[in-house]
Amino acid sequence: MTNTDDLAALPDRVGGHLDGVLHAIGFAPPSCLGGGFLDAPWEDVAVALQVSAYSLKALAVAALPVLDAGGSIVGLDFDNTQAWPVYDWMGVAKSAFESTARYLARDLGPKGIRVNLVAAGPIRTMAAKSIPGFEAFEAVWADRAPLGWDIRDPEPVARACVALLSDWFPMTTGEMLHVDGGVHAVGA
Amino acid sequence: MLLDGKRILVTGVLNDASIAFSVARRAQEEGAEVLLSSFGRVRSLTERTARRLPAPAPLV
Repeated sequence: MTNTDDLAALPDRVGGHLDGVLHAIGFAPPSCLGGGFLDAPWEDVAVALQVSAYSLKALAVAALPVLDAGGSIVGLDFDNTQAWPVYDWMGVAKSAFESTARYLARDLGPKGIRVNLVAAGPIRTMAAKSIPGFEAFEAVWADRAPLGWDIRDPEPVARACVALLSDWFPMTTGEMLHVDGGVHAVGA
Repeated sequence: MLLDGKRILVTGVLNDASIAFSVARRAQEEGAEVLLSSFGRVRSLTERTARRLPAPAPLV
């Protein structure tokens, strides 16, 4: 997703129009996760920001020539309006991602394209397994989610993404929809 | 169905535990034509995983 040739070729490869795009892209070098927040070098942080935040803008612009009015861009997020254990620079990248989505909503709205994020609770994926101390999140969700939370079930997140990709949120953009069992709403 | 007749590009499908895999499956079940993007070295992984979707999903 950081390769400009791949991105420039996207409209041709898609071979027609698009109605929606799911952005599910994130990466941070090991120094950026797991508790070394004060030590991570800028070169590594820059990679995290480019792959995990700037890529939303890059993908949106790459898809724009084939994305029809009424189109929907949805990104997978982990709410970073507060600091978390171990998430470190990936968390900072997610904050940048959230802000990028709002600016994209501003600039793509006049073209009839919506940009929204789904802020998911923790799901045990390959990406999650690469986060040292991921269990810390599992404990928070087990303690606090009013609806409960199953880290092995991505289906609630998938349904929300499908809903945002559909025509059923026609006047919603720049939004961060929580699918987290309600954790964001409760203090403890 | 929610996505009848829509064409959706899904990035980030690595294996069947990927959240993006669940989105791709759900989108197909809701009537969408799904395309998967895969760049660089994870392409073969995405190709294998695509075969586990209910309907064909070309890699772009």
